[in-house]
Amino acid sequence: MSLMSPRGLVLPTALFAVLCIYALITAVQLTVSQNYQVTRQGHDKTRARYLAHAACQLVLKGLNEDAGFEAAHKGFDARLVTPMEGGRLESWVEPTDKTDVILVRGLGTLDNGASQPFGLTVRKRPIVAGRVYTRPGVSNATTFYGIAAERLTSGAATPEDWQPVPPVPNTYYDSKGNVVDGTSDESTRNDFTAFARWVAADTRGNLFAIRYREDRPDTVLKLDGTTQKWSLLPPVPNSRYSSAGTLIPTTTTASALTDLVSDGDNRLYVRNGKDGIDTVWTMDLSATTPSWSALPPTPLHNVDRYGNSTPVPNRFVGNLRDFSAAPDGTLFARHSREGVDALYKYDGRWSLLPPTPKTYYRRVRDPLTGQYMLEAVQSEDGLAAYNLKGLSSNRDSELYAVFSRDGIDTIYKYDGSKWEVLPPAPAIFLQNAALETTGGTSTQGAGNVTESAVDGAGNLYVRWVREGVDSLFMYSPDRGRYWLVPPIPNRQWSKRGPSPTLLDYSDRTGNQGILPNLYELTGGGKRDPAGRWRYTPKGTF
Amino acid sequence: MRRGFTLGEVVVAVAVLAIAVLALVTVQAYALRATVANREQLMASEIAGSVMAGLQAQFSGEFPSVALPRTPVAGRDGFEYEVIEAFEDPPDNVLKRVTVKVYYKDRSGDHVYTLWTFFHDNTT
Repeated sequence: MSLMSPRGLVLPTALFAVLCIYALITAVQLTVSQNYQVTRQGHDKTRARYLAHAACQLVLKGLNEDAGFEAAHKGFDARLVTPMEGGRLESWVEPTDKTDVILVRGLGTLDNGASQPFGLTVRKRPIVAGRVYTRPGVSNATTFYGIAAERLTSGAATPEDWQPVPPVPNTYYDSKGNVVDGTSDESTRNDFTAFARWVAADTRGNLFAIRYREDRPDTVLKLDGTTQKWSLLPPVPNSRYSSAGTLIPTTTTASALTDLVSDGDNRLYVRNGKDGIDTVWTMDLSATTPSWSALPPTPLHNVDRYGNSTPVPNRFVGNLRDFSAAPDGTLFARHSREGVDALYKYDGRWSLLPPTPKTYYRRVRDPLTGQYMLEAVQSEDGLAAYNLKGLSSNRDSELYAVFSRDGIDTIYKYDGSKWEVLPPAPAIFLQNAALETTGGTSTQGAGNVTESAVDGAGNLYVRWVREGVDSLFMYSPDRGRYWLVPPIPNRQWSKRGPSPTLLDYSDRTGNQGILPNLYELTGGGKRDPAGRWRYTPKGTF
Repeated sequence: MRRGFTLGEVVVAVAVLAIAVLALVTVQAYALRATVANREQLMASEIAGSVMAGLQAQFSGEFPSVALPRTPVAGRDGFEYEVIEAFEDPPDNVLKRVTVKVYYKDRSGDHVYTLWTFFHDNTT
C-alpha cells in the first residue's frame, strides 16, 4: 500500500467520525441535562421561597394571637419549626434598633434539600380602637361628639353611633392660677357647663379641651377615659417669647391658647399667642409632676410660591397653625405668609419640611364617554401647593395635607423623606340625617376638604364642606378606601345644671335634625384593655 | 497496484457511520423534546409565580377570597391555572392556604406545576 492510496484509511476515518459524533452527542446530553437541572433548581427555589413566605405568615398569626410569641421565638435558635408535606417551614423573630419594628425571617426547605429565605419587616403597635371627635361649627360650643372607627368599617354606622362626651364643667384658673368655680361667678352663676374648644384625644380614651371665656384666662382640662370626669391640668404660663427669641417670664395664666393637640401617648402641645412670636408649650402627662415647658421659638423662613426657601436670621414665627403631633416627639405646624405655606417640624429642633409636590388632581372630560374624571397633573405654572389645609399626622410621624386647586382637592402624605399623592376623596356629600347623599363617584373628586384628623388606629378623616352641610369621610390607608361617616344628630348640652342635660335641637335646623357644620376634627382612641399589640407587615426582603 | 476500497471496507464504514448518525439523530430528537419540555415547565413556573405575586398584592391590606376554577391562561395556548384556598386554622380563619396549580400538556403527557403558601389576615 502506498501513501498515495486511501485504501486502509476508510475504517479509521469512519471511526474518527463516529468519535466526533459521540462527542457531539455527549455535549448535547450534557447541555440538555444542565438546562433541566437549572430549570428544576429554579422551580425548587420558587417553591421553597413560597414555603418561606408561608413560614413568615405563621409567625404573623402567632404574634397577633399569642402575647408571649415574640419572646418565645426570638432568634434562629428559638425558631418555630413546622413540618409540611414536601418540606419544612422554619421561622423566627429578630429585633431591630427601633423598638416598634421587628424582622420576621422564614426559611422554606424542600425534601430534596432546596432551601430559600424570606423576610418581613413588621410594625408593632398597641391595638387601638380608633375614634374621631368633633364639635358644632359655632363659636360657643358646649358639646363634643365621638364615633368609633369600627362602626364605620362595619358599614352599619348610623347617626346614633355619635355619642356626646360629658360636658366641660364651669371651672377655670384665674390670672394668678387659682381654681375658680364658675357657678359662683356673677355672670355665669347658673352655668354648669362651659364653652370649650380645641379638643384633643390620646389613645387611652382621654380627651383634652380648652375651656375659654373672652374675659378669663384659658384653662386646659382633661376628661379621664375611665372615670369620664373632667379635671384641670396645670395652668399654662403666660410667659411669651420676645421678638429676639427670649422667653420673658410672667406669673400670670395664659389667655390666648389655641391648637391644643395630643401626640396620642402622653404629650400635649398648645400654642399661646395672638400677636407677636408664638410660644408653644408642651407637657408630659406621664411625668411625676406634669408641668408645661416652652419649646424653642420657631425660626422664620422666607418661602416663595415655587417652594424655594431661605432662613431669615434672628427672626421667629408668629401665628403657627394646624398643629399635629406624633408619639416619637415630632410636632408639625404650618405657617402661612402672604398665601404661601411653610411647614415646620419640631423633633428636638425646628426644621422646614420639603415643599409639597407640584402634582394635583384636575377634572377632565373623557373624550370617548363624555364623563368627567380626575387626572393627576403637574403644575403647569411651577407653583407649589399653597393655602394648605387639613394638616394631621399619624403614629408614624407621617403628615397629611390638603391642597385645593380649581375646586378639586389633592391629599398629600409626607412619610418623613418624601411626599406622595393619595387617591382623591369621593365627591359624595350628605344631605340629611337619613344618610341621603348626592354627588358622584370618587372619580369626580371632592372640592373643599377643610380639615383632617388621624385616629389612634391610623385611619384618616377628612371633612368636606359643600352647600352648607359638612360631610365626613374616613380613609383607611391599610385598606385603601373611603367610608362615609354618618351625620351628627343635633343634640347639645344645656349650660344650665346642675345635672348635665342633653337638649334636642333637631327640630330647629333646616337639615332634618343634623348638625350642619362641624369643626375641630381630632382623632384618638382606646388601647386594648389586655395591652395586646398588633403586628402588621410593612415590607419584604 | 490495486486502487480504491474493498466492498467490505465500504460496508463496514457505512454501517458504523449509519449507527453513529442514527444515535445523533436520536439524541437531537431527545434534546429537542427535553428543551420543549423544559420550556413548558419554565412557562408553567412563571405563570404560577406571576399568579402568586398577583395574589400577594391582593392580600396587601385585604383578606379577599381568591379561589378560581380552572381557567385558560390568556395568550398561552395549552396552559390552564387554578387557585384553591382553604382556611388552615378554623374556626379562627385568619390563616389561609392558597395553592396555585398550572396545568399543561406536552408529548410525554399531562403535567401540573403546584405552588402554595399561607396568607395571614392583617385586617383584623
